[in-house]
Amino acid sequence: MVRYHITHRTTYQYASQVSHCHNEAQITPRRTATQTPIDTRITVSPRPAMTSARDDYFGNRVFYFAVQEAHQMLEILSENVIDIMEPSGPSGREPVLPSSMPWEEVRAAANRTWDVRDFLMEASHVATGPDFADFASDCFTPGRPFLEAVWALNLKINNEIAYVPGSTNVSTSTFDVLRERRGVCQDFTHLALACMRSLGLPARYVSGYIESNRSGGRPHLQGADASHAWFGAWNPEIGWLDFDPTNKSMPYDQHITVSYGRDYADISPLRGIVFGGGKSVCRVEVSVQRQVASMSNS
Amino acid sequence: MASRVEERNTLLSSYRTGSSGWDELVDGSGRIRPHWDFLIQSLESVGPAQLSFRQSEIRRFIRENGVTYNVFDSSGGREREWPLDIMPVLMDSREWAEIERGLIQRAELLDLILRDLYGPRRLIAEGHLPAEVIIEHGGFLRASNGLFPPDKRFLHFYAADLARGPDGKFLVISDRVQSPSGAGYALENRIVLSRTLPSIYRDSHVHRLALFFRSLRNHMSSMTGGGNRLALLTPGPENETYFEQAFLANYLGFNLVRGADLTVRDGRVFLKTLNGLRQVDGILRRVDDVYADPLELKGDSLLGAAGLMYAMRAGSVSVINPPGVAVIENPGLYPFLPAICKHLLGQDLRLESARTMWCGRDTESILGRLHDLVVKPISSNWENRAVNCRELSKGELDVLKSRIRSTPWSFVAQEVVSLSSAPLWMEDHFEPRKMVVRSYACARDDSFAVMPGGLVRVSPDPDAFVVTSQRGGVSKDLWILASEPEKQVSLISSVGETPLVRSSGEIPSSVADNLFWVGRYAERTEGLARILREILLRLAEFQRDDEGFAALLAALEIHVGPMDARDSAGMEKAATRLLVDAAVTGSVRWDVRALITAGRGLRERLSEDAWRTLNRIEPDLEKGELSPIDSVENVLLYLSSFSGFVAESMTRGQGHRFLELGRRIERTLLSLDLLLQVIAGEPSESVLELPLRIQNSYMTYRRRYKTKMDRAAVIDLLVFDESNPRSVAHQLLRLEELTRGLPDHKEAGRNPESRIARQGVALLRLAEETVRTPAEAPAFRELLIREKTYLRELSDTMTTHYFRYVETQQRLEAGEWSVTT
Repeated sequence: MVRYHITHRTTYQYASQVSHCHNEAQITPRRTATQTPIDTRITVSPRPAMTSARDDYFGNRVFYFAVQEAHQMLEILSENVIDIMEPSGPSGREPVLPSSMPWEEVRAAANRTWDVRDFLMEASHVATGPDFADFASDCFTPGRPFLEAVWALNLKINNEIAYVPGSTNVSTSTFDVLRERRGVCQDFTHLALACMRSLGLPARYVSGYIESNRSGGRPHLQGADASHAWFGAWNPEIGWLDFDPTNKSMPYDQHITVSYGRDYADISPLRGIVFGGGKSVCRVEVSVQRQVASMSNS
Repeated sequence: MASRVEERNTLLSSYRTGSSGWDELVDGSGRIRPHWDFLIQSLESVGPAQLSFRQSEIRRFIRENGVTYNVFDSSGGREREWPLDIMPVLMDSREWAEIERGLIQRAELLDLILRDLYGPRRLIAEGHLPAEVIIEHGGFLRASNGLFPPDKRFLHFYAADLARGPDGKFLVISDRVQSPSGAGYALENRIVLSRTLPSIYRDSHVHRLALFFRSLRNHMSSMTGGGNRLALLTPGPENETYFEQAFLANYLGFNLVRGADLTVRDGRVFLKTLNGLRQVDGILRRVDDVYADPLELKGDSLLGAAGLMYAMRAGSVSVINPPGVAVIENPGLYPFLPAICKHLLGQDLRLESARTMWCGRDTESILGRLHDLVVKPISSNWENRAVNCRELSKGELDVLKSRIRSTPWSFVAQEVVSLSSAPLWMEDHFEPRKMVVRSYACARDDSFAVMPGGLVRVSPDPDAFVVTSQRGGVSKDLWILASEPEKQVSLISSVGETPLVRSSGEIPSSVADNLFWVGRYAERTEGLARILREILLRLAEFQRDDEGFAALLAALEIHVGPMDARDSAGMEKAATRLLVDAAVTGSVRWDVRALITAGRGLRERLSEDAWRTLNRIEPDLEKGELSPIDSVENVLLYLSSFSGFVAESMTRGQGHRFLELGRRIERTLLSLDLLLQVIAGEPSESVLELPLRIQNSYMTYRRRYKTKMDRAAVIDLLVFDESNPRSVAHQLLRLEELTRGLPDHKEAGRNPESRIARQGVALLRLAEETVRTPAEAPAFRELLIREKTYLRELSDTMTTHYFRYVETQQRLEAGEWSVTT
C-alpha cells in the first residue's frame, strides 16, 4: 500500500472585478476498491459565502461554492491524503492478462446490463462510428479474448498517436485526433472511448492524478504533476478494469482516481459561472508526493 | 329530440363530416349530439350576419389587447394575432369526468415515474422500462439525479394533447411538462368568448376556469411553506408564447421575471429590484429544462439563474416543474405505460396513449410495416420531428430505415392518429376541421386538479394530419357543460381566502428600465409627429417659406439625422416616409415599434386600455387609409390618450416615476435641441412661430402677446416660464421633484440624480435675466448646451444606478486541457 499527499491548486486571475461566482469542483478523489481517501480538504479564497457537497449521478464527489464578495483572484486548493492498494489483477507496463471471454460476448452482455448503458453512448467529446471501429479493427479480431483486444488497442493508440502537449484543446474532437494523430492524455482517452463504444463495448473516462519522477529507477510517467486521464473498460466477469493509453500501461499504484464519467464534460475539475471579470488567466499546479513508509499508520 | 343537420337551419346546412372519424357536433347518422342543441339553437337565432360580426369583434378585441403568438418563419419571426374561432367545442360533464380521472391518473403515474428515474431507477433495474428509453433520451438530466428525496413530488404541472379516435375515445398524443404553454391562452379565449356571446355563455352553464388557476397559486404557495413571493420565469418577449406568460403572471399576481432579473445568493433565489434584492419563494418556469441553470445545465444559457439547482436542493425555492421532467415527454414510454401503471398504481391505465411501438425491440418487424406508420424520435427537437411515412418516397423511406437501424432505441413508430372534427366558422357557414385538445392538470394536496376546459386547436386545412399553432392553427374554447350554473370565482375577489401578491411594490430593475424607455419613446414619437404635422399643414396651405422649411428640416434632423429634401415636393414625400416607413430609423412607425417593444416587457403593468391604444397606432399607419395629415393627427390623439390612461390608471409607485422620468428627460432634450436648431441664432418671425407650434404653446403665446412675434417673449415662454407645462423650466422642476423620490441605492450614496436635477434648475434661474436678448445669443446657446449636458448626465446616472442589473455572465472552465496534461 502507498500513501499519497496530493495538492491541486487552481488560480484564476481576472482582468477586472468579479462581483460573484458560482462554482462546482470535482477535485476530491473518490473511494474505489483499491483507493481509500484518508483526508480530503478544499480551501477556497476569497472565502465562499456558501458551500455544499453532493455525490453526482456517477457517484463522484462534487463540491459547490459561491463567492459573493468582489474579487479579482480566485484560488481553489484541494489537499488530499489517499491510500492506494496494489491491484490484484493485471497491471503495469507488461500486465499478465487473465483469460477472458471473446470481446463479442462482452458486447452481448453489455446489451443486457442496464447500468453500463451510459458508457456506450456518444458524448460531447466522444463520437462513435465506422471510422473508430475501423481504427480498432486489427485489435478486435473475431473471437479475440476481450482483455487482449483492449490491451492491444491501448498499445495501438500509444504507438500511433503522438504525445504533443499543447496540440489540442477542449474543443478538439475525436475525429480531429484520429486525423491529426496527435494529442494529450484527454485525447488518447477520448479516442479509446470512441473506439470501444463504436464496437458496442462499455468504456468510461477516468480522471485523476499520477505520480511522477520517482527516484528509484521507475520510468518517468507522462502527465505527471498535472491532472491525468485514462479509461476503464467493462466486462461482465471482472467489472471495470483501467487502461492508460498515454503511458502504455494498466494502473498499478501510481494512479489516483478522482472521478468517472462518460467523457471530460462529466468530470471537468472545475466549472463556474462568473459575473464580471473580463478576461482570465488560469494556472494549475499539481503535486503528488509519496509518503515515506515509516510514517504511515498501516 | 335531436334533429338531423340537413332538416334545419342555414348555419349547418353545408356541414358535411366525411365518412370516417368522430365529429364533435354530429353523430354517425348526421344528428346533432344532444349537448350541442342549446348552443346551435341559440346561434341559429343569432343568425349568420350577426355571427360574422361577432367573429370580427373577436378579432378586434384580440388585436387591441395585443393577444399574440410569435411565429418563426423564413422572414425571421413576427408577431401574429392569436386566432380564435367563435364556436366553442362542447363536452358534457359526464364525458369530461372520465377524461378528468384519466388525466389525474396519468399525471400521478408520470410523477411516480419521474421520482423513480431521478432516484432508485427501479423501473429500469427491474425491467419495466428499457434503459435506452431513458438513458439515451435528451431530456434525462443527470444533474437532476437525487434532486429530491423519492417521497417528494417531482411533477406539479402537467399538460396533455388529446385526440379523439373514430370510436369516440380520447388518446394522449403527447405529454407536455417542461413549460407547458396554452393555459393562459385558454383563459384569454374564455374571457373573449364570454364577452362575445354573453347570454349564450351564461345560459350554457359552463364550468369556470378560475378555480383551476386558484389551485395552481395555492399549490405554489403551499409548496413554499406559505411563501407568496412567486415569480413566472419567462425566456423573454421573443418567446413564441410571451403574451400568455405576461398575461398569466398578471392574472396570478406573480412577478414576471427573466433570468437576468434573478440572482442566487446564500443558496437562495433573489429578484433584483429597485430597492435591492428580494427573495423569491416559488418559480413557475417557462424556460426549458436545460436553460434553467447555466452552472449545472447548459453552460451558455442566459435564460436561467446560476445556482438555481443548488437553491432547489437546499429547499429554499420551489420550481414548477423542476428541470429534468422533459424525460417523460417521451413517446418511447408509451408501450410500457400500461404495465407500469399496473405495477405502480395497481390500476389499468385509463387514458391510453397513441398506439406506439418502440423501435428498440422487434426492429425488423416494425421496419417491415413502416410505410403506413408515423416515425418519431423519442426526444423531439427542431431538427428531429415526426415523419409520416406515407408521404415519403421509396428512397426517403430507405434512408429513414437505415437511420432507425443504426440507433433503433431512439425511435418509435406510431399508427396515424385519427383526429375528430369540430365546426369552424368560415365567414358565413360552419365546416368540420380536425382538432386536438390540450388539457391541464396541476398538483393539489396529494393528487392533481384538472382544468375544466382547455385549449382546442383546429387546422384551417381540411386535410391536415397534425395541428400546431406554429403551423397556422386556429384556437377554440372548450366548454365543459355543468348540469347547473357555477358560482363566479375570480382571483381578484378572493382576497379573504388567499393573500394577494402585490407585485407592484417590488419593481424588478428590468421593469424600471423598460418603463423609462416607454416614457422616452412615447415622448419622442409625439415630438416627431408634431414636427410632421407642422410641415404637412404648411404644405397644405401652400406656404412658400424657404426659411421656415429649412428650420423644419433642421428640426426633423434631430430625430432622423441628415435629410435631403430641399423642395416642397421632396418635403411632402419625406414627411410621409418619416410617418409610415418602419425601415427608417427614428420614423414615427419605427418609434412606435420601439415603444411597443419596451412596453412588451411590462405588459402586465400598463393598463389594458393603455396597451390597446398603443396597439392601434401601427395598424392605422399600415392601412394608409387616412391622408398624411389625418394620420399624424390620429397618432397624436392615440399618444395623448395613452398618456391619459397612464396618468389615470397607473399607480403612483416607483414604476410610474421611472416612466415619467423617461418622458420628462426626453421632452427636455427635444426642446433643447429644437431651440438650438431653430432660435438660438437670430430667426425671422415665421421661424419663431415654429417652436411655439411644435411645443404646443402657440395658443398661450397668442393669448399673451396677441400677434407680435418677439424672440425674447418666445424664449421666455418656452424656456423660463415655470408655469408653462411645456417649458424647459417646468420640465426641470418636475425632474427635480421626481428624482427626489428615487429609491436609495447602496453604491450611489445620496441621490446623485436629484443633485443633477437641482443643478439644472439653478443654472436656468441664474441665466434667466442675462440671456434673453438677441445680443446674448452665444450665451443662450451656451445655456442650452449646458442644460443638455445635465440631462444626459441624469439619464446616464440613472442607467448606472438602476439599470445596470445585468452583469456579463461568463463560464469558467478549468483552463484548456493543455495546461493540465
